[in-house]
Order: sequence, then C-alpha cells, then structure tokens
Amino acid sequence: MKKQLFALLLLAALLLSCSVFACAEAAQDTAQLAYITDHAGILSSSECEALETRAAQIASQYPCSIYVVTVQDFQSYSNTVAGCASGIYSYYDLGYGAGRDGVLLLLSMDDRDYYVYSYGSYANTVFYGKAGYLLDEAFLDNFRSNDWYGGFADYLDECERLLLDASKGSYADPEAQYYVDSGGKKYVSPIVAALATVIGPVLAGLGAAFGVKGSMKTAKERSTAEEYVVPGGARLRVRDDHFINRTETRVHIPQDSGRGSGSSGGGVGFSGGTGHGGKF
Amino acid sequence: MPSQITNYQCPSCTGPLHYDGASGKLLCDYCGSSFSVQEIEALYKDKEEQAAQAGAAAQQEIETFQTAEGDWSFGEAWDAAGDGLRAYNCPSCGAQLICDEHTVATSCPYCGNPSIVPSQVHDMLRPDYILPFKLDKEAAVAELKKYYRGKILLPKAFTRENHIQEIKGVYVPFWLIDGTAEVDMRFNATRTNVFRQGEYQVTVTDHFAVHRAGTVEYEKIPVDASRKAPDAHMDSLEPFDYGELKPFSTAYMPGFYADRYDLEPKDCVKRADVRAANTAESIIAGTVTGYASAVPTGKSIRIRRGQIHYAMLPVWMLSTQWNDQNFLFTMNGQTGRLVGDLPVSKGRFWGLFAAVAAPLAALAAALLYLL
Repeated sequence: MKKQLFALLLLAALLLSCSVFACAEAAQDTAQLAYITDHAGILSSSECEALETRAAQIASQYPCSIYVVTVQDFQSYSNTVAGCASGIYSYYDLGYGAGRDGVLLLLSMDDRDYYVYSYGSYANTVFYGKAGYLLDEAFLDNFRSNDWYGGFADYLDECERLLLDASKGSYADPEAQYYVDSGGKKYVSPIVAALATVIGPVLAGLGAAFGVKGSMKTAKERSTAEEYVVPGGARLRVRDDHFINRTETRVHIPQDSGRGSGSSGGGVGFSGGTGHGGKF
Repeated sequence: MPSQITNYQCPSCTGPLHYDGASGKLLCDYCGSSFSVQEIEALYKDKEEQAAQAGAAAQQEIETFQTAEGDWSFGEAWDAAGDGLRAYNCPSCGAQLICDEHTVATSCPYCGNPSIVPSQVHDMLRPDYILPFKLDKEAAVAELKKYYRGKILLPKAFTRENHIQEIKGVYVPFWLIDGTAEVDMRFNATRTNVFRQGEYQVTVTDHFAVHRAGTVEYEKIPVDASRKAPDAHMDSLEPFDYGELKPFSTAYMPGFYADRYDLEPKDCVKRADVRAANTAESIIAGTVTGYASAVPTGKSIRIRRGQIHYAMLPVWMLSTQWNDQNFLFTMNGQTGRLVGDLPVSKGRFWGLFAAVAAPLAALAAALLYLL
C-alpha cells in the first residue's frame, strides 16, 4: 500500500511537472528512471541530456550506476529526505546488476536539502566514509551558488574518479580497501577474517584447554573463611549514606543534522542502502 | 621402667585394636570384638598416664645428657640423622621404633601393632578436640579412582601405570582460631539517571559519601599446625563438620598416624587473620547496595583474636609415583572431599585445543565465505 501510494505520488508529481525531461521520458511508463531525473526543472534539456550521456558512459564502464533526481519538496514523497531518496531507489529498482549497486544524489529544492544515497555492497564500499565527504565537496560549492549543472557534472566526475580508483584497488577511505576487489566482489577485512578464523578459535581453544587443565589442580590455598562466620555474627555499627551533590551532563543528539545515516543504516561493505545528507 | 608407648590391645585376646570410623568403635583385628571409646579409655587410663610419665622422664634424661655431655663429638651425618628423632620400644614385640620427635600415633613396622605416644599429647600438649575418622581406607581408594574419572587431560598411562604407594590415615594437628574482625570502610557511591530531553541526552548523577562500620565474628578457622601437611591441600579439604568434634582422646587414634603440632599458634594466626579480614571486608562492603557504583576510598580492618583451640582432624594421605614424580592426594577423612594435582598429558592438552579451535575456525571460515 505504502509503495503504491509512493508510486502514485511520484507519478502525479512527474505528470504535473512542466519541465518533464526528455531524457527521462521513456522511463515513467515502465516504472524505470533515467540516470538524470530533473523533476524540479532546474536543468535545461540540453544540460539534462549531456549529464544523462555522461552518467550512462560511467555506468557502462563500472559495476555501479550513478543517478541524479531533483524534486521540489521531498515531503511530497516521504517524511524525510533520506526516506525520499531510498524510496525512489527502491521503487524504480535502480542500480547495477543483481546487487543493484548505485549511488543517487537527491536535491529537494524548497528547503535546499540534498541526500546522497548509495545501495549495494560495492557502491557502499566505494562511496564509504571519506568518499562521501569528497562527493559533497565536489558539488556543494556549485549548488550554493545555484550552479546546478556544474554541481551535477562535478558530482558525476567525482563519482567516476572514485570508481576508477576503486577499480585499481585504491579507495578514498582506507578502511574500504579491505572489503572489495575491483570486480566488486565483497571480502571481509583481513583483521576481521584473522580474528574470526585464527585468533578467535585459538583463544577459544586455549581457553578450553587451560580451563580443563585448571581442573587438574584442586589443591589451592584459601583466602576467605565465609563458613566460619558465626550465624548472626556480622553486625553493622555504622550505616551512613550521606548525599554530597548532584551533577548533570547533557549531550546534544541531533535528530537530523548535517550528515546523518541513511534510512537503512549500514556501513562499509553493507549490502543494503545507506547515505548522508544536509543543506546546500 | 614402663614403656613410653601404649598399644591398644583387645581385652579378650590381646590382639591389636584399631578405631573403626563407620561404627565409631575400636575393633579387634583378630577376634572381631568391638569396644566403645569410653570402655577403652577407662581400661587404658592408668597405662597412658604411666607412659606419659615415662616419656616425660625420658625427655628429662635426654636434656640432662645433652647438658652434661655437651663436649661429646659425633660425626655430622650422625648428628643430622639423629636430630629430631625419638626411639621407643614397642611394648608388643620389643622392637625399636624410630619416630619423628612430633609423632603421636604410628604403627610398629615389625609387628604392625598401632602405637600411641601419650607423652606427646599430655598436659599442655593435649589437643582440645579430635574429629574421628568416618571414612576408611577403601573409601579413600574408591574416591581417588572416582577422582581420575572424566579427567580428559590425564595421561592414560598414569591411571594404568601409577600405583598407590602409600595410604595413611593421619590426624593432622590444626589450630582452630576464633576472633572478631572490626571493619571500617568508606566509599564514594553514585546513583545515575539517564533520560532524553528533546535533542539532549541528560545524565543526572547523585554522589554519596558512604560509611560502613561493623564487626564480623568468626569461629574455628582451621590452620594446619604441621610443617609436613601442605597448606594448599589442607585448605582445600575444608570444611570439616565441627558438630562431630569430640573431646580429645587417644582412643580414636589406633590404626592411624598422628603428629603433634610443630608450628606454634604465632606462626599460623596470620593465615587465619588474612582469611578473616578478607571475609569481613566482603561482608561489610556487601551492605553498600542500591548504587550504580561504589568505589572504596578507605578501609581499616582490625582483628581481635579470640580463643585458639588445638584439634586433630582426620585426613587420608595417598601418595603415588609416576614418571619419577610423586603425586600427593589428600582426602577429608570425615566428608570424603579429595584434592590433589594430577599430571597433564601434553598431547591431550593440544588435542583438546585442536578439537575446540579447528571446528570453530572451519565454522568461521564457512560463515565468512557464505557472507
């Protein structure tokens, strides 16, 4: 029901838009989306076409698709900008291959919100951690000066650069390099793998062996004498609990500030969806 | 001159008597007659008194001789061998028994008669209590076999090849120490409440100064008073059921070995003090409740020692040898609790390690592969 309502809303919004983009025209009937979907109408047709071509070229080279979606107000689709991005991604079955790897940049124009949503273990690894900041840096300066085309172009360039580096085994975030190979196959960190397959079992084995070995020695000097306390022989003479003071600490926990996690949570190598967002 | 040693002999056939823990009576090995402890005590009261006096006279003689003939020169080896030993004559067969200077009960190596040295437990040396043996030698052997069972690291060859070399029922001398521990402790304690207020997580902490002082009275903490008895073994045999303590009588000793104490109370009380202090601290600290944390900031524990009782407690000592190593097992002669250190097979140790580590590693690898 929720999915249908979401689809209807999106479809209605798309139909009402006066600048329905040429590059996306074939997508709507079949519930597919082009790489560039300018629902907010901030791009010209030629700009949209140029960006679409560029995104398609990237998609043909790497096991990961790059998307841009602009909307007027994300609240027409979801309560949160993150929910809007993940909803679009999910409804249109976006992404590359069976893992549906891809990254989607959503702009909501009314409140100048943006959200970068990545999905699939490979995409989540390539765009993990520091890569997210690099993407933000690439487009935010353009968007802040209303240079939409420049921002999207920079976004696509940065995505391609990150994917190219990843294909060479170099990831923006050092932690990510342990998780995937250039083909997108997921691996576990050598540290985690070593812990799980060697150190953990070795420690468990030693613990078991030394535990049993300990039971072979039963003669031990005692340091307590509970059994020899006379029944009723423990008596309290002073029982004083004196209140000194009260301290209070407050830690600010922002609800949805600057950079937050996406609707599905997750992290490096996570096969679901994750993301971050903010204002431009 | 009367003998310094008493043999408890059957009033019916003069065969040797031994104390039987199961029946609580003295049994004759030959005719099977049984006698209560009180009956034998009454019969041997005079003999024991005479033996004790003879022992005291002999001790006096030794001291006089040592003072008068102090210039005599013996070889070093003779000195060492003779040091701390006593020679007695067995009243049954006349053979000479060479015993430790602390020996109270033994048996003649020639005729096998149980022998008691009453002078070792006379007057000031007389124990207050004795806890009679309840379990016999067979029970000790059975308990040892049971102890071996289920020990997966025990070398198979140990159970197959080791033989019990000696089983001795020994009345071990103990000091039973009474006293009171006075404890004064101070803590910094906190109670914490964490809640959410809008966009803030608020932690409210109440700080308290907590003071506890009190006394913990303890009774009869046992500390072995013999250098021959390993402390770790003796501690591990606890507890003994003091409800069955009897006023001391040598009539419980025939058939067993016993030494009098060779550690004075002053040498032993510290061990009891430490145990009492640790226990009292734990009890008093345990009354600080209802706090998220309580960090001790100061403590003072004072031990006021009370009475010290001298008691003989029953212990079975089983010694075995394997691979040129001696293994000692001890069993509480009253409760049957057995302790002792067993050898560990290196092969089995690493086998157990592999048996745990290898499947876990394989499982982890499989899970990683599937994920």
